Amino acid sequence: MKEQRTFYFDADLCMGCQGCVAACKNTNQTKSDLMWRTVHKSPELLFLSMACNHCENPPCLQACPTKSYFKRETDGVVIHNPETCMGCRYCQMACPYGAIKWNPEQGIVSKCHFCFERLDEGLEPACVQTCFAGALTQRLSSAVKEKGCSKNLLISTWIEGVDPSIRYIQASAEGKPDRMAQFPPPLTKEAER
Amino acid sequence: MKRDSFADDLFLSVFSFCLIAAAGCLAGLCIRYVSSQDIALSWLYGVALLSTLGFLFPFLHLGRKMRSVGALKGLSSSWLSREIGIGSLFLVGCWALVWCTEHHIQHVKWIWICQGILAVALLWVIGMVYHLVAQPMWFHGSQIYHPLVVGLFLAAAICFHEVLLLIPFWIADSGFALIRLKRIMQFRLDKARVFPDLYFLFEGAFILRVLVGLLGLGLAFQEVYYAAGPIVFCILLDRFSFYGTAVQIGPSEQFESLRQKAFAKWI
Repeated sequence: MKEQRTFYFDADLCMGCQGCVAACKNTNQTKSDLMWRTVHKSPELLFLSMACNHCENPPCLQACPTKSYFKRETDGVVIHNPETCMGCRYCQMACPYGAIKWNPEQGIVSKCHFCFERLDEGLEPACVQTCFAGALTQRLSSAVKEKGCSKNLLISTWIEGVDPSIRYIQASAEGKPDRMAQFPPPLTKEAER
Repeated sequence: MKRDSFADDLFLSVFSFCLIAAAGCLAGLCIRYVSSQDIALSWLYGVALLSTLGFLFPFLHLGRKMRSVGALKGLSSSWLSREIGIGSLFLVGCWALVWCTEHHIQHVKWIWICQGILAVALLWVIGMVYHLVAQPMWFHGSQIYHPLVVGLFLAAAICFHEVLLLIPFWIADSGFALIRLKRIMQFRLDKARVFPDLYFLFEGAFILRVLVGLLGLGLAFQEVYYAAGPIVFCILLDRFSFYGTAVQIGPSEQFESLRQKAFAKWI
């Protein structure tokens, strides 16, 4: 794999509007009660928006008996193939983040695919594009200075060996990065190259 | 993340119960055949029917049943795929042994030995299937060996004639059960239980399982193979409580726990 695409989430900027959830549903036309992205609320009124973390060593991919998951060589995005899934739900058991959702109507599971068709066209994923607060961003991991980013926020989401591709930017973190410097202008195909 | 109901897990618990009981039984019969060639056809039929029944149940819980033929694609990485692969071979081997015994075919010792090895491998793989980092209740070394130990306990009850030989297996099984009990207590008050409403039922099944194991050992003092019945029942209860006491600590559960703590502080 060349590089890993990673979600970056800034809890200071997120206001819990659920715009990312709605954008995800609209773009992927998922059922009303089937949400690939979820916004969690902490008692301190901090929010955390999370979908599939496209782990570097995805447990779902290793667990699937029908090899219905694959990881793209170009950017490490984990994609589920609905054509071969037999609906055993073993991947749901194996995912530590509850990112894999059961669709009872189709009898198979589904999950966030990082809007890979949009990425291929040089667009941002729907959730990132709709986040007007700028709390949710994504980059290839090599394009970001990891200083000031943490692997856990409020709860422990980092699992050694699974290596989820999500990083958090916390107000309390020492050396909090300058966001403008860290996330340069929107993603384009040219910029990616 | 919460599973919809226990129905799906019930299919899985029946599946793993049938396979563990069948594999344990066949391992015992295998030793008996190799040592004395004393095999009752009814026992073999029982094992074959049990493993066939075992394979029917998970098939029912699949969302897309016709795609189950692709379940062997993941042999290189998926323990579930390996379980299905070894289980299928085991099933075919069981019926092959039934056929050979029924038609009085001689020199089938190698089929018996291969089938015995497959039975032990199957018991091992069943343990590995549930060794998942996302399942803190099951993610423990003891859970890998427990199906193997309980299966061998059943095998010992079938093939040995000396009750003292059963005691080490009972001790090992009880030891693993104690570790499970410790883990059940650890997650007992956690908000991350997958089936919180039925928890008393699964805990009850677990306690009953320990008592039935003890009863099995007691009966073995009368006649060793009397222990087989309680051990099979013990396996059934064990799988029921195993799935029922599952715990998942994803982001939703962790946030729920934070909320509970904040609420407790506020009170």
